[in-house]
Amino acid sequence: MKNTGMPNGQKTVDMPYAATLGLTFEQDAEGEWLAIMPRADTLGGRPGFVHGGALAGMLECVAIHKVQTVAAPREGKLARPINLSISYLRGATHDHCYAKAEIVRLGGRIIVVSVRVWQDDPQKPVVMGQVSLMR
Amino acid sequence: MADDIRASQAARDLALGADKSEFERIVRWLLGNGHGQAIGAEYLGHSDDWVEFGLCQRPDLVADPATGVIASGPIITLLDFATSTSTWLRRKKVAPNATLDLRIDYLRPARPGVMIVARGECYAAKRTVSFVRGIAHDGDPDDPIAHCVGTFFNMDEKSSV
Repeated sequence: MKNTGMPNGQKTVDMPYAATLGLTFEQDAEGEWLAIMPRADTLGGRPGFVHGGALAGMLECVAIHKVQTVAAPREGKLARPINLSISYLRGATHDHCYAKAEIVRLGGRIIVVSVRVWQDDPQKPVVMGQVSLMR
Repeated sequence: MADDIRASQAARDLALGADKSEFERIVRWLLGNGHGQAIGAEYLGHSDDWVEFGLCQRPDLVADPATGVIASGPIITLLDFATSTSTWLRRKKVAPNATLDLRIDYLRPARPGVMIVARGECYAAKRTVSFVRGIAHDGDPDDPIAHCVGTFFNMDEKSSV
């Protein structure tokens, strides 16, 4: 596995809330980061489905993580979301969720990240969102 | 899970009548399970068209240990809950719904340690879709930490799509 690491030398991002969601990150063969949020009863919304808020939380953590992988933090702080626009495309059944993020624009202070969350088929996202962050 | 489904079925069949405490009973049940329970969401109050839920900040909900500020995820969850259940008040019935989209603006970081309050309001309920807005604040509703707008699909109206 190719590990490109992060600009600040960190291997992971310390986000207690991401740990609460059970979120982990790993790199694929191309060095791209994949986020995994395993099935957990603590993420349940309406019966049989993952809570929309948990998915939004995942999306934000994935966006913050993505920023960390491409830009050094300012004053040692993580990027902070300014806004989040999220579309719920399919009900996320009570199971593992996967996500990948893409930088749409990397500015000096403002960074726009697009995130896609899926379950069994990457071509069928359950949630897509765009996050603007400030650093 | 079977209990969840039965309770959800019971909730679905209940039309919100004169008994306001019935709404409170159902949302307390909802917040006391699954992700609501995990983040510690609690019922604060409601009226004819709005609901308020609260959340105590905890170390495991922090985004960045460098600042100690609560992550926005739990705030969205609280707003999602508050706006979702506000549709029941506007529609005068408890019925399952699914979030279609949500846009959140974060105006400022929450002050560490204080309770987060999310207030959700359903400003229009059409046959298939309900339209909502909400704010989250940490004590002063005139100085919110977040603002949101969103839409919900009314799942009891499946025949209409």
